[in-house]
Amino acid sequence: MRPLYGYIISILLLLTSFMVKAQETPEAQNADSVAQAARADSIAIVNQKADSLDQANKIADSVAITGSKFSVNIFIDYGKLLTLPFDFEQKFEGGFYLIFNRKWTIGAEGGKMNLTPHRPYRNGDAEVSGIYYGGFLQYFLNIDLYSSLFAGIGYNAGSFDDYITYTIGDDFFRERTYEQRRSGLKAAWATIRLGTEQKLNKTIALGGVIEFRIKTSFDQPEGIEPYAIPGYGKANDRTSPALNLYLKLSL
Amino acid sequence: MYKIITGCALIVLLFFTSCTEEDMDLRGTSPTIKLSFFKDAVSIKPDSVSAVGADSIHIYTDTLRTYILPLRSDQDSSEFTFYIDTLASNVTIKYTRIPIYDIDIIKHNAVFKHASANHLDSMVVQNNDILCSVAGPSDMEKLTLTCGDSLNLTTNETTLRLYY
Repeated sequence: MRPLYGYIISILLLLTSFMVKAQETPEAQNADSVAQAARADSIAIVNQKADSLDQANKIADSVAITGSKFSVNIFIDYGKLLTLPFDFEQKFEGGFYLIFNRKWTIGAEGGKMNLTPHRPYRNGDAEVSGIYYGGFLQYFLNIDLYSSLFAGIGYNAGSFDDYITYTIGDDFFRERTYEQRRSGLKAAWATIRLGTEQKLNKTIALGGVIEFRIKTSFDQPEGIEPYAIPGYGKANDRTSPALNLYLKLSL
Repeated sequence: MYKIITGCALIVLLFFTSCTEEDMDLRGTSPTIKLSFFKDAVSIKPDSVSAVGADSIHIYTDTLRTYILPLRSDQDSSEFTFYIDTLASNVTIKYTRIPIYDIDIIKHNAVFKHASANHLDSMVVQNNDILCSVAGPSDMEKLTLTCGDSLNLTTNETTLRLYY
């Protein structure tokens, strides 16, 4: 089931990229055509009047979606929303961030997860549920009027419960089932973030961010290590990569 | 932008493609103890062994001299009965169970606490670093061996030797 789920996500991601391209085309073409017209006009005019070129640029800029120097944005991870119909994995994540001078952002995010992974152990099952929250700082590099790349750092923490059942048997004794239940487990991790964002219009943008997570603290409980930490990944991994897809609304 | 997203999508696709189903095996691993038997300083093998509380008796027909036997995973004590030349020797092992996650399976490890057995001349438990022994005249009375709390039985580096 998991590989199938992966394929679905991958296909949706590919479709998203086509959708972005499709959304980009009409407006971009419009902008390009105006800009080209402006440039063509400018070339013609530049021989006659230098100040006409400035006027042409202003026309092109007026079509562009630049946004204000300061803006408030909210986002939701639509990749995780796709998990809601499934029994084995339910995730929700969202947050907000502030943009200063169109380059620097500071934000906060949070999420909730309930994981029942498919066959996490050869002889057992696991269920993990919990919440996580954190903040981040990012720097945007605007490629053009619509696209931007960004890099940043963040820090997240979470608390969660886990429940593990497993069977043990041998030649002398029949298999018996054991269980382990813990609550209030805590973990924290730092993130290095690299991403890209594509504006669809002045209000809506689609983005993707690759996170490299580094576990900084974890209260290892007695017994078997929890299978996963919500928001982080496998509990026994010191680092964890992740890809998040989000839909952003500028307020 | 389009190329970046498509590239990311391909990476994700390759990542999930590499995931495969594993073989199904619901049986875990019980804690174990490694035992060897001696009579007049010569290694011997029991004719059969049964675990108290278990359904099965194991009759050995091979020539092994060292046995790795499962301990009870539901309690911190196991009792075995060994038949050696019509002599029934009861051996009780007490230990502490520690559940561990090993690669992809959950197991119970066992840390040795003490062992007792009857019809023995002496008993030795040893791993690479620690050796404990007890000797004494015994007949029907049980001989008991206690040795710290750092002998991990399940690693197979620790052997309990029984001298009859």
